[in-house]
Amino acid sequence: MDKTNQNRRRLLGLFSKGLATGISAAVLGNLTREAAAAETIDERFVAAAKKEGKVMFYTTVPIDGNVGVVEAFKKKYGIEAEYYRQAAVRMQERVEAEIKSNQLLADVLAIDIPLSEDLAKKGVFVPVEAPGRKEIAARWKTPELTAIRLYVSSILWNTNLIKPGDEPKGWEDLANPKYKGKLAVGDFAGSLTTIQWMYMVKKLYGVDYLKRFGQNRPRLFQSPSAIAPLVSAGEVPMSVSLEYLLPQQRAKGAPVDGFIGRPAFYGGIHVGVMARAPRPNAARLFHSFVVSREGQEALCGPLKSIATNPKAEIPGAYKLSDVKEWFELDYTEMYAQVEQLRNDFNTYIKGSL
Amino acid sequence: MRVRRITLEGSLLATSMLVVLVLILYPLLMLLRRSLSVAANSDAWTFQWYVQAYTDPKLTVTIVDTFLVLAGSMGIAFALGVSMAFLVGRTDVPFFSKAKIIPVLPFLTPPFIMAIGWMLLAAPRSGLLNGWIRALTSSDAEQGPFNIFTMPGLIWVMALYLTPYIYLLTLSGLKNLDPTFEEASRLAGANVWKTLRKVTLPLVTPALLSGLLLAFIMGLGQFGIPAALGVPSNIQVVSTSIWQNIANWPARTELAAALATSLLGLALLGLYAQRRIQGQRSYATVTGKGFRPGITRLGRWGWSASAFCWLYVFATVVLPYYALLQTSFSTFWTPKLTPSLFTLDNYRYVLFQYPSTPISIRNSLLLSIGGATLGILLAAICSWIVHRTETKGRHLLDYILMLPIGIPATVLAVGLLAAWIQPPLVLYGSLWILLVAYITIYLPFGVRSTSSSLQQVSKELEEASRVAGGSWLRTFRRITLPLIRPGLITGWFLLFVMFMRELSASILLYVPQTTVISVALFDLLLEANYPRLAALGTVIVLISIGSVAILHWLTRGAYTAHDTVQ
Repeated sequence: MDKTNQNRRRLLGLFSKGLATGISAAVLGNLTREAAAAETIDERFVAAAKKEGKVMFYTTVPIDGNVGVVEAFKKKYGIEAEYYRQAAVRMQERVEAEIKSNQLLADVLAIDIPLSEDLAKKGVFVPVEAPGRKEIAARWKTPELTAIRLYVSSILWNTNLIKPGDEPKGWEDLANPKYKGKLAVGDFAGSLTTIQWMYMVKKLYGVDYLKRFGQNRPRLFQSPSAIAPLVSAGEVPMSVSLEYLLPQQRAKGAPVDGFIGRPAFYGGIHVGVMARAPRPNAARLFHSFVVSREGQEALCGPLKSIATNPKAEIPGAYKLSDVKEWFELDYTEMYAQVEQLRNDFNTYIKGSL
Repeated sequence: MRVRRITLEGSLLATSMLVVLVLILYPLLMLLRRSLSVAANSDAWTFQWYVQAYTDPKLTVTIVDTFLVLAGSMGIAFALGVSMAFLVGRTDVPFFSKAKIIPVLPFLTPPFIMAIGWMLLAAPRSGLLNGWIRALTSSDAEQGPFNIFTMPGLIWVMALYLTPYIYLLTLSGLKNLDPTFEEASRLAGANVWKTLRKVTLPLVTPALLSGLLLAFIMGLGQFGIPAALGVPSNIQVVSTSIWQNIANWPARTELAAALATSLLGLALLGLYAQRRIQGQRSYATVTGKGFRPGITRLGRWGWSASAFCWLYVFATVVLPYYALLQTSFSTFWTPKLTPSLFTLDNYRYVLFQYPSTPISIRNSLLLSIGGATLGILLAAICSWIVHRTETKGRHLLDYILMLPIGIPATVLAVGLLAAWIQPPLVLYGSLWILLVAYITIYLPFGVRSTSSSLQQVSKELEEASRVAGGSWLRTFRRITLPLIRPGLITGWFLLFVMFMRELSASILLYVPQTTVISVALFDLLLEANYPRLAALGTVIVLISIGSVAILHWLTRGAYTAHDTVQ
């Protein structure tokens, strides 16, 4: 009996080891194949992409970023790349209209969060892998989408109008009466950033903060990017802003300063390959370039924006590590509250004007 | 013979009416469908958007603000436009009587560029004009005296935008005015001003009303100026309200469509009012007798009149263009351009690096020249159908022709995209969709211009031709078209300039290969890159001035020949 049990145990052990080895081999094999596929994606697709002739990049990124990445891609692969730029909501409308009528022209789409996620739920994108994606942290990607550019909330001011010692230290300071008549913010109806900012400060500090902020009679303009030149010109002393606008204005010689808010929320641009791309190989090749270090440097460099690829070097721009405290936006909740936030803005901020 | 003439005439009329109906009603139908849809890709129907639009308390404020802006700007534009047209078209005002094109120069500037120019001039802290005045008066104030971000500021810029419309249509009406009536008034003892009030202005009432109606509709649909200046002033007008529902997150395009279809009613009201005021009176002043337009000698008032015209040019052209020019040479927008900030990089960028520049200029010139030509021909035929035939439904055609300008082009573009992106006729992705969109949206302006001229031409001239044995087509070509040439030229010019600067529909319908000038400019505006915007704006204005100068030289030759016809 003992000998039988020993044989049974030996067999079980062998079986277990065999099973473990087999599973490991299968897993590793898959990983190896995936890695092999990811590492060779460029080689696989370059020739096929060249045959397709060009790639069409639909994008909401500012012009300089598009020109940068398109030129860099053309230089690297010798494949023609065109971009079509549109504001985020109009872009979503355009893409949906094209898909519905089977007239899709886009191969790759870069569009603002959360519109990217709305489109992903509708099956507009296809899951892809690329070497560059592997380097990017999991929080910046989904199976279909990869964030390639982030912008975070900040405060910006003109150093000729806000003297040293008078600068704000955080979001709460913006409700300080000493800044009455000196602030600007994007109009709720025109600025996703303002919606995000309202959502954040209301959660952090409550409605009372909004009342006090409104009592400072902030001036309204279309968006943070529309306000930044006004701060540089001295038309507006200070504003709720986005981080990349500070190095951009400084690079032009403007007398400005600022800091990333604490906490800071982020917005950004997701990129994805269209499920029905007219040129699927060129699409994947372009996508793999855009998410890589080289692609993000070409796109974020001219904009002085934060890249998500940790290897990307963007001179003059902030880095992810500069954000000391994140505020996570719950878009589902924000969307559900948007009408209330609109009422709050109209009552406490616009109503004070 | 007689049967062939009727068939040709009938075919042409029927084809023209069919083209107009498809161009206008099909996209409007798609727009209406959108306003009744639950969502973009839903087939379910609802009235919720109309309920939401009309129960929103902010809508009342928006409508009141819209009418305040319109009333103020139309009043100023009417005073400026009619004065300029009379001085330039009927007097010997020094310089301007020979340079009739100059008051139209503001027309060549895309409206939002003019708004940006005035923002650079009259922003309360950093505006150039404010800075000069504070320096001249040694004022310690940090702001002012002007603030463009106010209701008066918005009204002022809107007025400058609307003045050329009234000027052009009034000028066209004055050109067709037989001076015999004014001479009779002067012989009876009336002075210049009494003649102007009692004879001249009443006789050009069709042109004045057309100009006012045009100004009303253009002001109602204007988006760029209130978008640039209205938001900081906390002024919301209907067009910006509609735009925000389309362009911002979360998008409410169906609500925008519901709001926009309501504007149709306003446009139709305006047209009805014009018809009622004109009534059954005849304004025919071009008869079988030939004439030369009369010129009033201003004498010692001539230089004052010229100064008034120069002041207008200074306010509408010199000042805002200077502000744009200075900004175009700076690394960033600043009222103080120092040597360290001076740069040519903005011009280098827009001329040699910005991919949109060459393709947009080519596309815009192609669309403007071709589109204006096709558009004015179609307009002339439509005007003839409405005012010269007994065709059943011609009054309905007149109302249908007005429909597109009752809807902001931005929203009509939603209908246009839905109409032409799917079978039976797919135009999306080509220049054709832009051409169709431009003609659809702006055909009414061409029609107003040709109708205004046609109403001043007595039917007896055409009847004489038909009695003498001329066919309908021969009469139309040899008699009607030459007689309404001022209206044709004015209408063509209007369409050419409108197409060159069209933005509201283009922004939704273009693809990279069909980028146009206004889109190339607007992309820079979206990024608030004022120096580059100013540089490209300067280049575009120079190209536009050059094109118009050539056209003016070409058409003035033709018009001079008309003047000598007895």
